[in-house]
Amino acid sequence: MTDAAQERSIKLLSSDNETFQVPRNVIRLSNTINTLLQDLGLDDEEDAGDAIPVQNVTSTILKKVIAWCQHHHEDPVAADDSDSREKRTDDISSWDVEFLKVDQGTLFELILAANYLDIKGLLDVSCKTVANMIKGKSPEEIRRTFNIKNDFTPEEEEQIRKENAWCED
Amino acid sequence: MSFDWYGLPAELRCMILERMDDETLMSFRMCSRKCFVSAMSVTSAVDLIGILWGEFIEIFFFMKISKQLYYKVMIFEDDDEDMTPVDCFMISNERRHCTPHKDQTFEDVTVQLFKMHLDFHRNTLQKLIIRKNREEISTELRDKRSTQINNIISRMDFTVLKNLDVFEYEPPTTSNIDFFESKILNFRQVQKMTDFSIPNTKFTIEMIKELKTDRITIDAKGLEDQDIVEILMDWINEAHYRNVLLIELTLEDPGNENPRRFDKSLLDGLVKRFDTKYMWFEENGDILENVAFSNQKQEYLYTCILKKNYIFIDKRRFKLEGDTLMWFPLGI
Repeated sequence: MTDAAQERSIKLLSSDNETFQVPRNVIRLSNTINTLLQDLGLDDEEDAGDAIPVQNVTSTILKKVIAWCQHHHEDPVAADDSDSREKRTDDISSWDVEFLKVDQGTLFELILAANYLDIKGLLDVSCKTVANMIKGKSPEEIRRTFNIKNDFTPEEEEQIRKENAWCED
Repeated sequence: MSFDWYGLPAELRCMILERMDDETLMSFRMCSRKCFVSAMSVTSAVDLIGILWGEFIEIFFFMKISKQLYYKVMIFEDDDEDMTPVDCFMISNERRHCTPHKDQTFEDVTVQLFKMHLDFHRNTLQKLIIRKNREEISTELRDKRSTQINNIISRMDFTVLKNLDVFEYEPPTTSNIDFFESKILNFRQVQKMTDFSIPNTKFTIEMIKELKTDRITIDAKGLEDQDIVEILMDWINEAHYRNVLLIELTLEDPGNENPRRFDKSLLDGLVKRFDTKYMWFEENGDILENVAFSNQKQEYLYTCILKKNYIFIDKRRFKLEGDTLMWFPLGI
């Protein structure tokens, strides 16, 4: 990508037809958009033309996604070391913690949007937030949070409880 | 709009599961059958197998989900010698049965099951710990069980484990030195272990030469003074040669009436020949902190540390002030 391309803007169109003008160097965090622009040969063009439709992402969520990218676009690129990465959830920056203080529905949609746009950092931090959300909760509380129906028989539940007790030894 | 777990694609649910801590995962898997299976799906990083023995022979295979969550495979015997039936709980909530032939002994069956696990986890197992049950049992019973376990392990080929990072083997008795030595030598083909614990037995230099590890724990309890100097010097030479990063050295149990102190010749060897970056000195159960040193030794250690720029892994370092050996936190 050339310097000129870095400085220009890209138009994104949300599923409810709202257009967002986003600096190219901000939206570079989205691998989906990167690939799209490269595949269409628009990455070095002064004018990328029409707005790129971002299906399934509403304007409310897209606005949040862009805000996240805006804040993180100068972050160093994380090494893709998913195999050895330690599964920590206590390393969320204070900005991200505040950013993700949203209702559960919004968080749910943010995860889907981050996945669709392939924004690894946002996906990671929002998944961690969900993991943290149920930390310390009982199975019943988790069921309520995640809208999960309990289909265990009492005997099966007791069996798992016993196994858990063993694991905690 | 609420958070609909099953509204997420499977790969995203998996990503969240991978980021749950062990306690949360344990609670999560109790939510429903599907959750149970989902939680088990992140158990692919099996990295620990353990064997315990005690009042009854029990062999546990621990599987680690992320950090501390273990599942067990338990083999039990209903009679004294022969084990039948063998009931084995396997990963993925799948129960497998192994029905021994009537002429199979307990050892035969256990070897068969153990081998099955090693084969299954040959590419994922990172940590192998074989240790004693901490429960108090009679010496007679322990010896009997120890013999059985030794027989089982001696028939196993651990070299199939290609990604083993940690190996720890705690001998059930001190009377089987030859067994341990021959067993550990079987590890010579295991590549790049990062941690290797040495039991209190007399090992030869041949072992470390064959191992590619950058961390060694030497438990010298039970070794004679002369053995310590001779054997450890060999180890230290080899460790120096191979740039081992860390040596932990334990000489004696705390509270021993006749504690063994660091011999000057040993220290001399450590400092002269061992050029590792990290060291851990432990004497009589203390990490130098509460150990009375002669001025000569203090001075000697101080010189060594200055000269070699050692960093102590307990994040402290010491400094000689007058006749007193002082500890300082790193960074001061």
